[in-house]
Amino acid sequence: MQRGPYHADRALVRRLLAGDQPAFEHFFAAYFPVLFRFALKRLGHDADAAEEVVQSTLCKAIGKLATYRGEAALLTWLCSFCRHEISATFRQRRRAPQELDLIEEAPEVRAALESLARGTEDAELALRRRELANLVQTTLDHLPPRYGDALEWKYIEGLSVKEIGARLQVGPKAAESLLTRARQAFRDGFSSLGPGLDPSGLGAAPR
Amino acid sequence: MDQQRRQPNDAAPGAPDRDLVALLLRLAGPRPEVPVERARRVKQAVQEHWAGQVRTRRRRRLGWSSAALTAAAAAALWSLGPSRLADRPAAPLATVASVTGPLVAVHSNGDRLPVGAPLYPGAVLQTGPDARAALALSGGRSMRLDHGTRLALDSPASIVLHAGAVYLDSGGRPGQRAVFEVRTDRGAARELGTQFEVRIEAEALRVRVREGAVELARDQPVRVEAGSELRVDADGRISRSALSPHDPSWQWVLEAAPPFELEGHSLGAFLAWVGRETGWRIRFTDRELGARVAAIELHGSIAGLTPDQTPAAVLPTCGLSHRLLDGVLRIDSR
Repeated sequence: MQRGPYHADRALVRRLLAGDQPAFEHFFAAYFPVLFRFALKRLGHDADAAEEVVQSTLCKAIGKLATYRGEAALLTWLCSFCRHEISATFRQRRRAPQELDLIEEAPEVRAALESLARGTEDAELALRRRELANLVQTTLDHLPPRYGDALEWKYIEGLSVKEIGARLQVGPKAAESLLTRARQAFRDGFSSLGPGLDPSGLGAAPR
Repeated sequence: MDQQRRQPNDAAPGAPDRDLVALLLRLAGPRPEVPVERARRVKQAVQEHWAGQVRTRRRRRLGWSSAALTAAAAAALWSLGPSRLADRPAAPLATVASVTGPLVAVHSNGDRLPVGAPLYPGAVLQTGPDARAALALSGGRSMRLDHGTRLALDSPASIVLHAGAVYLDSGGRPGQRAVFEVRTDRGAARELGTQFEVRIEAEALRVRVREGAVELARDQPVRVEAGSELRVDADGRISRSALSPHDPSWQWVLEAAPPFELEGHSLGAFLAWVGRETGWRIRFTDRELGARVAAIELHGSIAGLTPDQTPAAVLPTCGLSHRLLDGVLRIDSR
């Protein structure tokens, strides 16, 4: 049987439609934080508005789950609902959306971010240094959730492979393997957004 | 957070690539955390919505619509049956508004009563051990019958409760109708307000009042106010306790509620129904919105949802958000 690039997302949706509680827990834990950050940036860091937008996004998406066909990543599909809700918020406030100049809003970058879930490399974009943090975090948000978490635990919190394995409830070897895949996915995604990036040009050197 | 408190211990093959990943992540810092309280609130709302969707889907799969058609046809046959035409009075005291599980007419050889069946004075009804039902009484009152309830329809203003529990709702307009009475062998509960429950337990009679007040007729009448519960034990001793109008113990009333016909009704009427059924107070974040809801016409169906599940299904479609806190449903235009 052929498995498409979003096989795992389709399987999760099937379990949600069947009323599987662990699937809901996984769905919420994986997508709520990402959507909240997605909305927060676009709503001028108004946390109340972001909360309402994401609640509405998830409720509407759940109502349409049966229409998800796995033609795009589930996160991409959810983000389309979220964009609609954000636009509706601005319409109701009779305000134009803020000019946020988010690099990930560029069509090529959106395509590249979507490609992360299936591990391809596409677009060529220059990365401006002032957007670095935003871009790195956005890249992490678009990786499979365990990848993003594991990379943060490893390189920001400084956890050992064994400690990461404990958090993921897998053995050290499996954790190491996951970290390898996570690094590869991050590199692929990040290089597709900011090719030719020279770390020395960022004003810091590898430790 | 001390980002350098421990060095990665994986410096071997591919180290330059790892160094680049490590450098980028350290420069960017951790992604912002989502506040726990916000996540909890949203999760609760979304989970309720998801559970409601799942239930609706399951009921649809079970052929909900064909069951409804069958029930309607059975109701028509039951009401037109020749054996009932002869002694039927001019107007029924009630009709069956909704039913889950068997509701039988004890006075009529245990016939099962479908939705829409008219009921006349002297009718004796019984719900099965897992059944619940709602009756629409003449005059606009609504009555719910819990599991294992047996009662007789006595007159337009009274019933006799033999077992189980009933919930009466006179529609939020106290004083505009004749007083309604629920009679039991341990006393009669007389409606002075609009929403209350009378339950016969093994060793006690229990009266709970959600809105308005009830007077329990005994040697010395006892008044039970909204937000309280009164128990009369087998020895006649009385005890009282407080009970919120939206206490979880009212849930059975919601589960027995007849469905609200969304199609063509206004959002204002829908919210009034939600407030009445759930005991929640409905509040708007601005007056303009409060005035506008009467003009918003609704379409679609909320069949299969209990009243407390319906705001999450309906309000987002109107571009509205909501929050429930301490029995107050606060509605906002996003």
